[in-house]
Amino acid sequence: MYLHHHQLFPFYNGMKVNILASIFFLIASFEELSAKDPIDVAIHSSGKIYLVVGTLAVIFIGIVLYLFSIDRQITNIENQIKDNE
Amino acid sequence: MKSIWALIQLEFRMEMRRKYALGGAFLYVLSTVFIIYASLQNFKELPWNALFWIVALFIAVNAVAKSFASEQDGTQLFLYQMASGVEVILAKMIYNTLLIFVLFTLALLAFMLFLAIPVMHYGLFMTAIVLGSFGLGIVLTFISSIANKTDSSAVFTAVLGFPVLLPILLSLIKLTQASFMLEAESVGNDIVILLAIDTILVGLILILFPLVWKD
Amino acid sequence: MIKNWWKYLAVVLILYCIVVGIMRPLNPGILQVTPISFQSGTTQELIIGTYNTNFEPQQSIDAFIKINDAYGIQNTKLEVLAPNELKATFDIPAKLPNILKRQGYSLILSADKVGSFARPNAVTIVQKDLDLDGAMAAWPSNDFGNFKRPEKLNFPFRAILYESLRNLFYHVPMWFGMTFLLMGSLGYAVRYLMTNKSSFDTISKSMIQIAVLYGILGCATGSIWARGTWGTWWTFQEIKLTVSAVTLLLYFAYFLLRSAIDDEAKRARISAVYNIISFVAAIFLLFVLPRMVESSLHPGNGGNPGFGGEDLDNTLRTVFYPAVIGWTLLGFWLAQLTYRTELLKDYFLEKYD
Repeated sequence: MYLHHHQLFPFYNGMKVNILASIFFLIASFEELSAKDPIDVAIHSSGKIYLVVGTLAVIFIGIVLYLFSIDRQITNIENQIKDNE
Repeated sequence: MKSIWALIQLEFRMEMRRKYALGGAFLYVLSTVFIIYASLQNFKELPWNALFWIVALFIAVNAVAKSFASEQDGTQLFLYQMASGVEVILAKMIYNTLLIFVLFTLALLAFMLFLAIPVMHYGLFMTAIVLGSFGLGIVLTFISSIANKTDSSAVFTAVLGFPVLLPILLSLIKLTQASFMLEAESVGNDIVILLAIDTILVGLILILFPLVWKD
Repeated sequence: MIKNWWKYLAVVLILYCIVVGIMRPLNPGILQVTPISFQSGTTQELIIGTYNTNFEPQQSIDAFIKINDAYGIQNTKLEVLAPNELKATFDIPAKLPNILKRQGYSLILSADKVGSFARPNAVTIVQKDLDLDGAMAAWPSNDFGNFKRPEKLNFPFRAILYESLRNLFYHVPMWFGMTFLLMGSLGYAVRYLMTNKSSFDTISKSMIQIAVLYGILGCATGSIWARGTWGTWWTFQEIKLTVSAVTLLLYFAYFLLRSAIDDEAKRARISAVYNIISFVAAIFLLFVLPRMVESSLHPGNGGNPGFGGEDLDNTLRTVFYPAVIGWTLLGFWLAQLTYRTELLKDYFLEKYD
């Protein structure tokens, strides 16, 4: 279930890590997770902690979206001030 | 009291003058029931209940939505200047409640005529209809007075009204569902809730309407 | 008094509810027992899979099959297979002090440090013939009922929920926060109608904006939780989901109404009036109707939409109440930011137009 360091970063030594490689690692690690024995996955996911992670992520995204909307409104006000000066 | 009676009579005369409105409501009931009859012959209690209240809701909204529309032309302005806001809303609520009650009874008759009616407890069903026409009458009257302040009052009566009406409708649906059983279950709570909602709303509306009526 | 102390309080409380709510472990529990069904009068080896335990080979652990409050069957042998797996051997008497031939019984584990924990209906025992008095007379004596107490109080272990129990500190406060914001908004609507000060209208509107944000977040987080525990994203079978959706509709209609009236004073007045009416509807939707249904998937079903007793124990309370206060204060903070932005907008609109 748990990935070892050498599995996650198999050719890390001496190799330049670029964005493409990191994306590759990300996808590879997802595949690594999904390719596991289903019973093993079931036992590890029986804690259902992912639901808490999802919930916190959703609340965070909601508050960030709100921040973006406030940010946009304040930018508009700033532009208005600049235009009128 | 006298002016309320005069206002109700005025409402009635105005309704009679535009006969197409009431006739439209009658035709609406009949055509909906006929469509239901033509498309589904025999169905169970639950869809019957749902269809009845959908039809009832739309008749009520259609009948009340234009309740304040005629005020805009100012023909009856002089009468309204003599009456206070509370009297106007009381008269309209009473009139609309009666109107909706007549239309509901008509809908019930049409449903009885075309679709086998599953009602076992007519007393309970009529209680639901009376309480329903009262609740829908007061809420829709008030909501239409609010909606009348916008440009598209018919749309807003529906949009603002449906969510406010939902607690009333949910309790009504439970009441009528109980009336399909031979031995009525404990419906006391639902009736109490309906009465409570209605009382609170009437009280609030009497306080709030003068603010809407102001201009 | 520090200025804006309640904002710092919000930060501290939310931090507390996230850190403690995530870090504090669950009590141990029993995940599965095999075999789950057998005959009485046999010797059974049960493999017990546990959750959140760290059994050591020499640890003293007692296992019981609970027949009723007075009678239990204690294990004869017990072997720790893994930190979360036990093999317990039971001699099941031929006759059980029970008048039912086939019934599910709880399995209780009692160990040092971790205390005792149970799984209801863990095993089903089938009796060939019934003899209540004989069974009671011949019952072997053991110390059933003498369960060890845990050293530390942790969050309760609940089947199906497991770790997602912690969502109590993030999903539920959204609804509490929404309700408090709606109350605040109602207060300012009334104040507007009494004073006709346009700033009260803006405050009222800002609070509803954040209340709707909280409502949407409540629905979204609830949806995730429902997918993981009830197996569905959304169901109208469940009254609470229906009423919360309709409450959101009420306030969507509020914004629609605002957008449809151009005159400022009229808009403020009419929307304050609608706010008051919709608050009454919202109270009935959120607090009265859920009490009227017989069944609900939410805790405290059958008459009480809240929860208490079994569903909210004292360890949960120590995090839940701060979480409610924290998220509510955060909501008021966000509403204040919205209000101040609106104020700036109005100020510069007047100044430059």
